[in-house]
Amino acid sequence: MAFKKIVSSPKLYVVLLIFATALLIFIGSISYKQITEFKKAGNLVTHTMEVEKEINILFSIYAQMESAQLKNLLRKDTVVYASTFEKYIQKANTSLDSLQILVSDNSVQQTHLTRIRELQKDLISSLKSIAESPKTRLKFSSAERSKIDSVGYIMAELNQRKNFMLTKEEMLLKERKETYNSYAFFTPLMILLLGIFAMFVFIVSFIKINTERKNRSKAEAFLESVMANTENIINYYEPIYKEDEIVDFNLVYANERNEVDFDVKVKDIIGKPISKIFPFVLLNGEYEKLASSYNEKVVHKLSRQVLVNGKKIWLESIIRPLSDGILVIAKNITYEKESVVKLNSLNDQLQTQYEELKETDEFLQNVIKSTNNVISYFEPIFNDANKIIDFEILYTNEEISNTTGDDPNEILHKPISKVYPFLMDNGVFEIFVDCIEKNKPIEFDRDYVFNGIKMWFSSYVIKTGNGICVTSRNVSTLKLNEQKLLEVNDQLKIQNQILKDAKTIAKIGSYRWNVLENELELSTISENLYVLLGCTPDEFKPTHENFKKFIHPDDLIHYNSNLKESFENQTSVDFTYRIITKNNKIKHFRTIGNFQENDLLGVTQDVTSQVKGAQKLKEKNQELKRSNEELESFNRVASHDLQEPIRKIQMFISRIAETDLDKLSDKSKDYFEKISSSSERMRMLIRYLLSYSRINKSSKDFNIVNLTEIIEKVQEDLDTRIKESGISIIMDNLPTLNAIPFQMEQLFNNLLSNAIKYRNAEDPKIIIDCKKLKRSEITDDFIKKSKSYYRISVLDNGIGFDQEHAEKIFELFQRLHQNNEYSGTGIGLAICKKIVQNHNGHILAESEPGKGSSFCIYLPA
Amino acid sequence: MALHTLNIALADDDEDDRLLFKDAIEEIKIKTKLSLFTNGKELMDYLMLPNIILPEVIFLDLNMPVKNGMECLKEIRNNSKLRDLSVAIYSTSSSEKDIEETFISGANIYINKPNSFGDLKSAIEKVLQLNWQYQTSALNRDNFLLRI
Repeated sequence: MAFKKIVSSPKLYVVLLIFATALLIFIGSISYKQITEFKKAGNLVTHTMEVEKEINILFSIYAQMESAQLKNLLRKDTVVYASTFEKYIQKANTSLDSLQILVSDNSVQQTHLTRIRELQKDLISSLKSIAESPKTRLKFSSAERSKIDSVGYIMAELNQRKNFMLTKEEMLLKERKETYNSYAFFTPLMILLLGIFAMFVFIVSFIKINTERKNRSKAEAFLESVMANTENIINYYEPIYKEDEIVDFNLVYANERNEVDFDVKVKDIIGKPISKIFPFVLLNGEYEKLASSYNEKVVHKLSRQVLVNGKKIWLESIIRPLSDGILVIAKNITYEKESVVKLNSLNDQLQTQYEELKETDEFLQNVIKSTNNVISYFEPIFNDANKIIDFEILYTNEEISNTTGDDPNEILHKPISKVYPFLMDNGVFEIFVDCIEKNKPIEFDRDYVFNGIKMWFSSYVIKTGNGICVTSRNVSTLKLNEQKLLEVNDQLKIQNQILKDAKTIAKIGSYRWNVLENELELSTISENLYVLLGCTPDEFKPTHENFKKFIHPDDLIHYNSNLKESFENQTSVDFTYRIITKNNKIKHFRTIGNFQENDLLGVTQDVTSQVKGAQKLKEKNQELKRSNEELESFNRVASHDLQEPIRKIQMFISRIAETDLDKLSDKSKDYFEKISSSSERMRMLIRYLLSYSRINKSSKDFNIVNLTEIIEKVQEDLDTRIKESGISIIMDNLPTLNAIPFQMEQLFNNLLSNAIKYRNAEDPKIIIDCKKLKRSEITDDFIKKSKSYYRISVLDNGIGFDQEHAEKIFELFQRLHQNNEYSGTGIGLAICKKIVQNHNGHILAESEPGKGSSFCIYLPA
Repeated sequence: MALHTLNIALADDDEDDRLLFKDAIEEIKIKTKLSLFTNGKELMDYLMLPNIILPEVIFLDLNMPVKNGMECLKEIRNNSKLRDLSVAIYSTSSSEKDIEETFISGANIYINKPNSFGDLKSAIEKVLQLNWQYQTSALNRDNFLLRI
């Protein structure tokens, strides 16, 4: 603003000054005119006075003329008269002529003067005539008297004319005095006014000039600071002439910017020729431009890159001619140029990025639509204390419907606590809050149960705008794989550990042998192999030949032939042989290896313990075989050889009983009866024992079995006893299952026999029922390999037993009753248990004395 | 009741059993001619003799020295001359294995040696009264084991 004032005010004052000068000239000229008028008025007064004086002179002459004639007349002296008169006439004419000139400007006076001239002639002639009359006569004739009278008349008329003229002149004088007086009043006033005005103009001008001076010094200071601080280089050059031609320019002024851009000291360069300071001006016709600018007074603009102190800089210069030199304003635009380049490249980048972004955007849109990630945007809901209490669903992509089954539009604008209440409990909500509050992206894995299926999701939550963007990926498969991988990893770790231990325990050494023995340095054996040979490491050269020295002589031939064969066929090597260690111990070695050209690489293991173990195993196996054979023969003994005698005893007992029982005494009969029952009991025992031992699993025996048919068959077998006991058997829901038929028959035979045997007197009853149960539904404790089981229950209302014996009754030879009370061997239920176990099932019993018992059999469905 | 005499052979190493069998067969009402052999070899040697009257029913014990019943059975079934003879296994063994094997090898019936003389008699009677033609044609696992 200040700068503007400086620029604008001089114009105004120039106008004012011009105006003031014009006014001064005007007033001056008026004053000059006034003075001229004043002078004229003065002259006029003087003129009038002169006219009056001349008039008086003229008329005094006339008076003198008359008086002189008259005097002559009286004295009669004509001669003297004559000369004096002539003098008067001359004088009168001169005076009249000058008067004539004086009044030439006044017609009235001229008229008077013309008359006076006539009168003068008359006077002269009259006076002359007087003079010619006789001078001696004392008396005058009448004629002469008239002549004297006429002079008197003329004189009178002359006086009259004189009075007229004087009056006229008086009037003029009066008039002219008035004019003079008026001028005498106005002219000083005018001069005074002029003086005052001039004074005013001077004061104004002084103030103005002073202000101007102050402003200028301010402007100068401003300019100086501008010069000092501008980023432009401002230099002023003056030409150096040589024989009327500009050969160089002298640097007259340079601002401080030179120091920054050219790395020179201003005080060092001032006064020096620019060709020295800025040698680059000599290049590319720049100097010509400078010269032409000065010579032709034109402005040039330059923009170029120059080399200054080994640095390339961009300069943009304006060369402006001034009166005595040229002003060069240059700007170092290196930075701008670089910036422009940078900006351009940045712009290009931006353009590329924009296009990429556009593509990305489109891509993203497609991705969001087609992705199988669930992408959602939630915005926090705050309570009064400005705490996040919930999130509002603002966006969810279609994928959500494949995951939770929700419609993305239906859950829009609902709080997550309503739509996904589980997020509030499993820590996910806290993660969201954390993401918002700390403004950091968080990745986390969580398992959820949607529609009864457990799923793993890997989620990435990032703060976007006010809310959070949550991207969730179903990683159930990955998780599963990961778990598997972890398991495998664990297994690997274990195996690794095992391997490590195995290496130390397994006594393994590795080797690399050159079979042709021509490149011995390639042969190496591990430290452990030395140890295995009973040597200290590196005790011998690790060649194959040296190793072979340890091989048992009996095995060496075989070893060599095997090795040769393997080498020729390039097959892998696997030998077991004996070695004799340094301390004469025999060890069994196993060598495994592969040929790589002429090198045999592999490991050797001390398998002494395995070989010995194998030997032991062989022995054990033989022992087992033998014991098996023994068992078999025992079986045969039991089944045949033991049965045979007891059968024969019974046969002969029956023979005696048939024929000769009557011949025995009563006591012997009694004994005989005891022999018979004992032998019967023994036969039973043997039979049951046999069937118990025969129960074994053989998959070929398994078949599809209809339990209803089986139990019907058992009922048939037990027909007599059922009828005798009057027991009723009710069966329902019995299944068809995969089992060994005759074992099933035996199982139910034993159970039904038991129920019949231990029945109660009144209304005995057996109920057989079955129900299919899933593994998870079974509370009873046993190893459950199958997914589901048949629970077959056999209930009776018999005598029952104490629950504390519930397990004992299934043990071999365990009986709860005295021999004489109920007949039994204590094998029946043991057989049942063995059969059920044989079928991967389970049997258990529940009972209370007097209230019947229930046998529960689980068989795989 | 058959009017003609039935030729019967029994191979059993046990003397007592042979005696009891003989007693039992004498007591039943069917007219029979019994030939006794102490082991399988004896039986087979006899059967291979030319111009002999082949027995209609052979009772064969399984556990015998020299040549056991199983071997005899197989030889009989592999011999064109003897193939059609009726063979009743007469053994103490009640093992499923033995029953199964003899059935597969072509025995006609399996008798568990009974515990009483009465049972023995009724068993022999039952076997001899069988219509063998029918029995052979309807060879059946279910009624292979004789129930006494």
